[in-house]
Amino acid sequence: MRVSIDWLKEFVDIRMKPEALADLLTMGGLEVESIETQGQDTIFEIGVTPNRADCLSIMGVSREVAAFTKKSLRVKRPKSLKGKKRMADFITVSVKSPKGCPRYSLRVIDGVRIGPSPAWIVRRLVSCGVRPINNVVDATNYVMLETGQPLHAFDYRFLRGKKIVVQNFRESSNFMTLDGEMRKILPSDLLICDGEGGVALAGIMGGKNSEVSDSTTTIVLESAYFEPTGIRRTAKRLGLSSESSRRFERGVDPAGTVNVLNRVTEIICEIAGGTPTVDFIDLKPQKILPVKVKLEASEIKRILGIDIKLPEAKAICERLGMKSAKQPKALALTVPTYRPDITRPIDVIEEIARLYGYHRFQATMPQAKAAPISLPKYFAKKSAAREALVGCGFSEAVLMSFAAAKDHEPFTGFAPAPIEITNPLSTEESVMRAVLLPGLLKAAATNISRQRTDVRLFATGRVFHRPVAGALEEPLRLAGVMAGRRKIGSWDGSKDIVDFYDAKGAVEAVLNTLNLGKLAVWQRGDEYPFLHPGKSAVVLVSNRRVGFVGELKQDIARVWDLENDCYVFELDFETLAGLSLGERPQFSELSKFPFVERDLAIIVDEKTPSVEILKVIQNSGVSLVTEVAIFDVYRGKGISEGKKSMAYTIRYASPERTLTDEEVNTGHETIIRALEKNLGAVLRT
Amino acid sequence: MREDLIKKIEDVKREALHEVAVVADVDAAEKWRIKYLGRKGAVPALLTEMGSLDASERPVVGRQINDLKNALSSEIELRIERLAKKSMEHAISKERIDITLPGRVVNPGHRHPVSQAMDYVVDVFTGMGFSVFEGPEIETDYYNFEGLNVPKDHPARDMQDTFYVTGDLLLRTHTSPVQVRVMERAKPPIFMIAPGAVYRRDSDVSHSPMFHQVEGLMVDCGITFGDLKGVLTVFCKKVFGEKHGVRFRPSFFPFTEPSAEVDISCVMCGGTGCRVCKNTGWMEILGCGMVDPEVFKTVGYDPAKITGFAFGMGIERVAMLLYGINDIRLFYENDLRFLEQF
Repeated sequence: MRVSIDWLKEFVDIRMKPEALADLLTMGGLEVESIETQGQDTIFEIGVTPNRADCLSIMGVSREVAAFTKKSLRVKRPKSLKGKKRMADFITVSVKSPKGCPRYSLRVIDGVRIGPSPAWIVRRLVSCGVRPINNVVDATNYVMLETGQPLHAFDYRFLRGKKIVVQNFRESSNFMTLDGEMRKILPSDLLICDGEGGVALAGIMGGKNSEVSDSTTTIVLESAYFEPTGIRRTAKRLGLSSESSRRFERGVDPAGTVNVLNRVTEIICEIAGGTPTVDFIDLKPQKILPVKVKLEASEIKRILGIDIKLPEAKAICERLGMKSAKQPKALALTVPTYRPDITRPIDVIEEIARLYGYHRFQATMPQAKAAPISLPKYFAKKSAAREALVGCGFSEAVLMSFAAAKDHEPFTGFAPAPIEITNPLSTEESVMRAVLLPGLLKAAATNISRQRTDVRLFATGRVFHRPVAGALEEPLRLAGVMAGRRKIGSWDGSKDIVDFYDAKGAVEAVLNTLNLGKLAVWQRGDEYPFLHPGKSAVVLVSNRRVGFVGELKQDIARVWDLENDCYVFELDFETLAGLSLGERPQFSELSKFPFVERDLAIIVDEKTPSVEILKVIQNSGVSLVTEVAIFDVYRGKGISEGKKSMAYTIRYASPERTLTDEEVNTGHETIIRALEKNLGAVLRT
Repeated sequence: MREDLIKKIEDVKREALHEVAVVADVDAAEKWRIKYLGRKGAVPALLTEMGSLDASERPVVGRQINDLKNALSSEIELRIERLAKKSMEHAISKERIDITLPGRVVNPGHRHPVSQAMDYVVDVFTGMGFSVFEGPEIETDYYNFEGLNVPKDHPARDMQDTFYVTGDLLLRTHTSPVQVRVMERAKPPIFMIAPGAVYRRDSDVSHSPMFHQVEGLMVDCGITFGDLKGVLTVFCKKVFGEKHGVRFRPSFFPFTEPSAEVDISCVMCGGTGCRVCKNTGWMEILGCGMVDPEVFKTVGYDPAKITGFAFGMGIERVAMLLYGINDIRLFYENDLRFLEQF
């Protein structure tokens, strides 16, 4: 709401500088968002909160200034202008929907001359951001800005049947509003009608058919109180928000319609001439009485924590226009009708706190017993996993939860169809993601397109699934992407690029930090259509699939403009963290005896996985083996086609004694024989 | 005879010590050692000459020769040690690397600034005894609005433009629904915060359709507006620094009354007024207020006995203020040049 200080001064004495006034209003709850100088005048842009319909007017803001500065408000008494003709000579009025329209006031002015408004009106309107149209329309806008009461002027010539009926139609109909748009009107929409049909969409916008134009001579002025919820519903449905609907839907003063009608009559007669009727119509099919609130003195202290004595509280309430009667240890208050936000004791307490000044409250610390705090189940696990990946050189990305539906196509089969948003901002953001990877691939592509080709990114976040039956699920996921060089920023190292094992290493780091490293089982990931079938794996922990890691298939990578080899992983973090909860490292004694190491190189079939060799060694019955470490994998010269050489260091030790050479040799021989027998391995010598 | 031998001993000693002083390398030292202490060296030669002495003279002279042997042994050891040190230093003096080349490090990644700011805020509150709860991001209209005293067709809904999934399911516009869910299950006292992603249909330099919030709730018998000021002042000073001014001014939220906005003195200009704070010297950091009695009624608390306060803040905003970031969209591009600054 734009507010002119000059205009405020018509209603209240203001001696302070604009900056000081802005500060006063801001600290009183009417936030001055900007201050603008216009000639001699200063304009405030005030952010009016939705509860303060009254402050969408100069008078309302003036009342606030008066209350804060303890000045009295200058109330304007419009001149009582009366012609000879009666309302009955022009028009008959009825309200058929009393719930939607508790009060309806009308007056006719005859013989007006439409033309431009005088400068003082134009200046005020422009300063408040309203475009001048003609003297009659400008007068209604002027008075709306001044009082907060929206007004409407009909051209009397176009009111068919010389009557007005406020009603809801039983059937849907079409109606053209002032802006030239054809609108569909439902039975729930309140309509101002003449003898034949709609002439205004109540409280929102007038009709094209009864608009005031240059040839208008007789106008019918409407000043009404419409029920807020109905106005809001219609305005919202039609996507039609006007200065008028903004005020009605927040609640205007039901007691003010006639005063405002007199005020606008006064101005129109002054700037457009014309003669008003001797009387006016004021229908009140539903009485709206001032609200009464009883405030117990003890409540002030209980909520605010300080003792504001009753006389001070009473004075504050009176400054805000409430009438008060003192009772023992309580106040009986009558709230003015222009403050529909005050209906309960807590509302009055807020007003007291506001006028007392928030800055005057002592900051205290609550009296609370010490109690242990609780954290979400996976909170610490999530932090640990993030740190593990940061340690592996991955930076954390924060991803939008939105995605395009087409982003999910490559992941069909892995993820369910994504949940759609009914009113998305764009098709790129039209669904809730069911997989994390698309967002991460987009981030990787952004970096690569900006010449940053070494990329390691991870993200944690929820994905959104709608199961066939049951409630929506939002499982927590952890995903990563890597591409580019293995050693980033190195001046002497290799120029090797990352491969499957770098990505697997990152996943292992996460599993290890969750104490699940030893429980993980790796299987080929060839059923995922988006992964390279030969360079991908599925991770299982305790027989549950917890994720995958592998090279993104090239055609999928190209969807995101990723030209380089791109390795990805996505883990079901919720499940992993759950499995991790029961796992805790268990201490084993540090051996006091030395260990012995023996190396071993065998030639096996290309298809023999490393894990099989490990199993044979572990199951060979040699109990002295404490560690098996692979140190070389070799194919090429000296090794026949279809074979590979695998070299291991096997560590032998006993917790009870130093081992003899003979024992170790026997053990090592046993292992070699087991490898030969079970895998057809040939010892390399 | 004895005198002759003693003189010989003296001569050998003098000569040996004279020569040892010019031994310049390990080879020369070895030659010297062979010459004097070797099997056929000068010192063993002296011992063979002892045979010509009287038996009574032998122990005295023998000791002298032995002393000489010891003295020469330690002398040459000392010399060798010095030579070794010298040659080591010589070698070291040639080993010069370019210390201006970059260090060789494992390159750890970086945590996202929003996630760091989130941890920071959460840590401050858990340190003050607040528990942490989470809730669904696709919420029902009830928990997001109605349970928080925002009925359908209330103008306050315009404050938070909403994404819908169905008529009743929406993307939560704040993490306040978690407060309702927790209060439905537990009795006071409740000290809690709810961190998480939230969604509003809004997109520009300072608004993102998704952002992160931490909302909090402190409910018990006897919690007052003064306590709200106390707890949130401590919070602001912990996060932004002790010297920052904090002010509370009246505002409106449908689920709190009285309501307040909390400003801190501008992190850019310190309060004197600049472009960033629109010359006010203040920056809005969080919204808060005393829990509205209607909210207590919907979760089955007796508002005549229970009071409390609630608050909420945007974490992107906290991160923007802490790190001086001027465009909220930078957070979601995940440009590594950006991420690596934090």
